[in-house]
Amino acid sequence: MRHVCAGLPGAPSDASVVVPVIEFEGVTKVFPGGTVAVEDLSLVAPAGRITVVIGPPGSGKTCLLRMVNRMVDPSAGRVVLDGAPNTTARRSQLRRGIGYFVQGGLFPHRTVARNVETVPLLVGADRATSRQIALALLERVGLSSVFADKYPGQLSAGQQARVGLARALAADPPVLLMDNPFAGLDPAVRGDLQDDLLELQRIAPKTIMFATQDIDEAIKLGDQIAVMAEGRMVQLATPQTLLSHPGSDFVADLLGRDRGIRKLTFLPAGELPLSPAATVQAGTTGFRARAIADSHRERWLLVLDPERRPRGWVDSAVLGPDEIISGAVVHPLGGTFYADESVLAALDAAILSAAGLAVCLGDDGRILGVVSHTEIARYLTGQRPAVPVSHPFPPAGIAATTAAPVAAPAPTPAPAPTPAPEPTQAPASVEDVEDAEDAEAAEAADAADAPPDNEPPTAVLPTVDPAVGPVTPARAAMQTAPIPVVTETRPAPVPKPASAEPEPAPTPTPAPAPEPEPARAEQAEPAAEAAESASTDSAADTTTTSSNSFAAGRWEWNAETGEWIQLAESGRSEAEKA
Amino acid sequence: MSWAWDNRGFLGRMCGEHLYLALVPLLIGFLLAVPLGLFLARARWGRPAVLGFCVVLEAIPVLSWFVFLPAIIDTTVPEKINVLVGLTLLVFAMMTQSISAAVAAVPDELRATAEGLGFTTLRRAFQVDLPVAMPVVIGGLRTAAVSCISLATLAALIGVGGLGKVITEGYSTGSEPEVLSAIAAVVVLAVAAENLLVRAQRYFLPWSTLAPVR
Repeated sequence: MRHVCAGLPGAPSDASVVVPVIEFEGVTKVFPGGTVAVEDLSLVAPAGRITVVIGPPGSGKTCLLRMVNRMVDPSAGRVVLDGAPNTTARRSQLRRGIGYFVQGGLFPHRTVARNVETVPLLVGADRATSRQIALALLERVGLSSVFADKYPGQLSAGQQARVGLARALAADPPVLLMDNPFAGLDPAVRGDLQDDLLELQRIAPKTIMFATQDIDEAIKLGDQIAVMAEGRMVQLATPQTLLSHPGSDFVADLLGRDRGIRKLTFLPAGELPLSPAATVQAGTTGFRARAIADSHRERWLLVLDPERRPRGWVDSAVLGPDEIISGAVVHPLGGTFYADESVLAALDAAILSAAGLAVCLGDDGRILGVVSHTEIARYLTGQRPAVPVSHPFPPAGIAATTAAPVAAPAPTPAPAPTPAPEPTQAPASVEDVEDAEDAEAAEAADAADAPPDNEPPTAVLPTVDPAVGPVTPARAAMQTAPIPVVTETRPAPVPKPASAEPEPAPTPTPAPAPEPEPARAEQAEPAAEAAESASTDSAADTTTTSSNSFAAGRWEWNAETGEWIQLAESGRSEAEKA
Repeated sequence: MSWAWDNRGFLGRMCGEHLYLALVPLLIGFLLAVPLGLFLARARWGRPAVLGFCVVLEAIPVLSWFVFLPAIIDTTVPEKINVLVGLTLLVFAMMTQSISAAVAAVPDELRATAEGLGFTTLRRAFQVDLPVAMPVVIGGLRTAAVSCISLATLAALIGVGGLGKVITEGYSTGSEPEVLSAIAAVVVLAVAAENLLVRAQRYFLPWSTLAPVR
């Protein structure tokens, strides 16, 4: 009984348990009466991955899942767990080693803790041990011990789902079957549970079969997605491939009209070029606001509250000189996004914003900068020559969402309003630095410690889209330079905003061109002016702080020295401290 | 009322005897019905036939059991055993239907989960099916308890004790207070038994009054 509860005494399983591959070998299920639930289906659910089975009701999803723990016996074909057919052990024994989670499956007559203790008790753990496991698991799924002795009926639907998850995990099974577990929950709770599941999966990977009818859920959770219709599997693909290459009209219909937009969830927002926000404190007069707007050459100003949180937008063009910025003149903010969210979040925020600008926030709530939907569109244009995802599974430990952009780091023109070259957008390899003619960029790269020599050349610029923009000298140089073409893309670590040391090289930002751009020089000047006026007049808030250094800590434009300075954790620049 | 007070010893003894006649069949009938009810809830065949038989069993007048049982099970007429067996058959018929319906109404997801988590069939029946069905089963038990206490008065017709005997005795001696007191005692006992079951449910099944698990 290899699969049964190898890590039972509450310990993390990672090392001891073999996480098996599930293989369906030509399985068919015909129920008495002739209903064909599943027809000649072959599928491999890779070890430690989430395989989402999606399809309309009655397409055979549940039946397929139940074949794994033999709640349904296939009429033909077999199911193999890590090489061994699942028919070797007794049914009840087999099932105790496979986590099972159906929506609405909590025992109403048992307390929360007793529900979770179910499987440990079934496999013969004593009461105290089971209780200990249950409490630890409840903690892990985000339920405090206060809930342990309540009945499921006393919990909210979301909390009940968490208990169900804890119960399915209680014997630490290497395989988890989840049959539409989050159906009917409200979207926020559902999103939280999906996040929690992904987090649990990250800590201790299990082979998960997840049936759902919700395409968003499938795309968010699935390492691979099996689309089913009338008992047959019509497509098996990664979420990205499914969105870009639906195999049939049926799949395309299932994905819905906005599948193109949904693909944006796989692009990290951290790669978007940010501009400094022209900000104004609420309560400032229109006259001053106009001055700030003029100095920035921006029409829309971001209104901050006294705690310096973004509150909305004000249109400086229509402000009377004596008008106070508050109340009705402040347009809705639209939305904000975080650097670790997707481009979709940024685009959504930009579209909702009155100014057409999305505000990017750091983890501490600080404003890192803004990006307009025009800039997002330009960024997406640069993303267009997308390399199809070759292998369905990115290497372990890499979030699936980071894989696509890394695979296609096409060049984008440097965004016009960028005030100065930013360390993270420094050239991707030493070679590029040498080719670059811009001394300032080279300086910035030097300041940020030129990339170590043993750093392998990053696979950049495999193709250049002619539509992207004018070919600058620098880009022309890069195109002619002997850049090693690396076909196998190197997985990039997920950029950490709080990372202490600047590390320009491995950042796969798609805007590496450090060429001198006239527009940029022009933009830098007003920014400097604005910063100066900020230093002389503290009441008028004209922060020009911008940061885009998601990979290398926070950076701030210092108007006096005309340099980018890395900020310490406290958020103050080193120059200020000195 | 004064009659009841004056004869309280006799009345109390008769109440005890009456409860014995009513509650022993209730308990035995219930226990016999549990396995059959659980089985029927899952049975692929035979359920309509057995349940139809239960309806017939329930419809047969209890009095006829008291009269004919001696011939069938070889007892003499005035023995209590006839009453006990007759009422047991009635409770058995009632509770078999009640339990099988209640267990069949346990949500599919619960059964599937129990199966999926690795419960054996027997374990699932007694650890999931029956407990979850219990609130509905207790509803059936309350009806059965009231019926038993009421019908146990018929024992008097074959000369067995209990409050029925007090009623017939009062009738034959023309003692109206005696008849009324006995009737009141039967009603009080029935209401008390029903109430006791409601309280027991609240105490032993605290979850049963909560919102259903989604």
